[in-house]
Amino acid sequence: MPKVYNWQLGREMLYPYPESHPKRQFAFVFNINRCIGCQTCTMACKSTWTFSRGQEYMWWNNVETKPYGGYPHFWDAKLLAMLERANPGGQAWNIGAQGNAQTPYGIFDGKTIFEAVSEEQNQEAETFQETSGRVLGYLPSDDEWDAPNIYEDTARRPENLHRRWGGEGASLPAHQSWFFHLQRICNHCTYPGCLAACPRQAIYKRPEDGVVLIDQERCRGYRKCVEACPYKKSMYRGTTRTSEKCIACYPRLEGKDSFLTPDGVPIETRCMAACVGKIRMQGFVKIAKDGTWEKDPDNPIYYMVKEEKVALPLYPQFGTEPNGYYIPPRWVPMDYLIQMFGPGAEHAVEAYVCPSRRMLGLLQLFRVAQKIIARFKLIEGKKVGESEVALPNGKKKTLEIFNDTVVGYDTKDRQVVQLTVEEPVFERPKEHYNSI
Amino acid sequence: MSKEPKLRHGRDKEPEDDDPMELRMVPVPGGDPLFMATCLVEEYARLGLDEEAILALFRQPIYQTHALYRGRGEAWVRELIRSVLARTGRLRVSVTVLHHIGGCDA
Repeated sequence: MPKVYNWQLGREMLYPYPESHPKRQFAFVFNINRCIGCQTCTMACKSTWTFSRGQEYMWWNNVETKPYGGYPHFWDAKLLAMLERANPGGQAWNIGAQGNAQTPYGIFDGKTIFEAVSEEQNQEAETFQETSGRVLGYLPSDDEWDAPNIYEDTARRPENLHRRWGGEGASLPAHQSWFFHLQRICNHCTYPGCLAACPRQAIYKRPEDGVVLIDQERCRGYRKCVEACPYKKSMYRGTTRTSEKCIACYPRLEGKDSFLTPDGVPIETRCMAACVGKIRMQGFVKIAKDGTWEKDPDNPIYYMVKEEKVALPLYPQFGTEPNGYYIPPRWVPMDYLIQMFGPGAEHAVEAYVCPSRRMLGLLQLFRVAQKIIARFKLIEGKKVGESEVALPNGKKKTLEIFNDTVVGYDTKDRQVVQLTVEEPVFERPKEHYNSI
Repeated sequence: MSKEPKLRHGRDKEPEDDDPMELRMVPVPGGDPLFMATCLVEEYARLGLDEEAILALFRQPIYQTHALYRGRGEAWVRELIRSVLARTGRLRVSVTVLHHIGGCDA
């Protein structure tokens, strides 16, 4: 099996195909801290792409409540357990090498989903179907795809909601513990598990933007991709007997819709454009021939992932080098975050809680325009305030607020949006308006 | 006369970690709901929302934040928002979008 370099793991790894990289890569950052689980993104995607017969259970975009929920149920816990069984006690990071450009999160010493499959098993198998074999995975049962996000937050139906699934059956006490919402679409991985497993080579990465697609003509619905995708974002459609997945709304990325983008620039995908909480930002990063990201600190995605290291990949240890990045929720216990986002979590939370001037400006740029922001610039202003923030380690730090202006540019380098942080405002509560 | 132990109905028992039937609802140790709610309020204050707008995020039953509102009441949520806003203020931000795209639902 060829070896490829996975920068998220800080090392080479085994992958069924040799390295081949697109010119640029579709990538996105989700700020989990802002998500209120309204599911507007979910419905925007559903009503655009998966509203037809045979797609009823499909949610290319879903938002699940952690640590309880998952779509399909327990997808991550199951795969983590499989990897642990394949490599008991060995799924660990060496964080000694952390910080280096080649090993930003350290070096992963464990096994990826491509490496955990036994070599022996691969060599003995006579046909591809027998191995399935190139990737460690599992095929979720039908019931595991059921009812995404229902009762993940509340054990029973809210009193003021009337839903047919509410009923009056057995009820459990509503939990009072911590949770956060995890937004998930296809990660359009650099080394996709689905692509590796397809016996028909029906799955490909587009050279122009790295979007991973399933060729519906070639697909025969063997469901190897469903089994192999660690994030379970490839789904089988019984009515067409093919598998389908998120297509990153590529007609919007191409900017070819004369109504939506008469000037031909890429606009955000449906799930991103619909986001109420302003948690999503997407873009393209330039990819060098060796697969690394070309230095581009004015690119919002590059800046957050590579410069500030405030956005992290989801389960990097799976080894697919996902191109979806998350700003981890700062209220969640660190051990859990490290398991989910790798050892960069501690730095990411710290960098987010007390952001730099540039980062604070960029955070305001999330979802202020429909066009993809390819470049941003900060124009510095005078200091207008400060506040005290608590870091994860309990220490306090002062967050300074400046009258800065941040400007976003589209892919044709035209100014799209300009935003100015004016000042922090302190308001007197309504009942005290006249108490002076 | 010995008193027989009172039998408890299943629904009154606390969820247990090793019960596969209740896995989705078992609280996980660690974490602090108050800290979580505080962080959420700070996030939206940083985006410029005022007290009423932030409260609406909790009041709306289709938003998952409503679980806290339902569990602890509006007064608790409002007090939390006020305490955060008193500490951090909210950012006043002016935005100018220079190139609109067609369609209100784009």
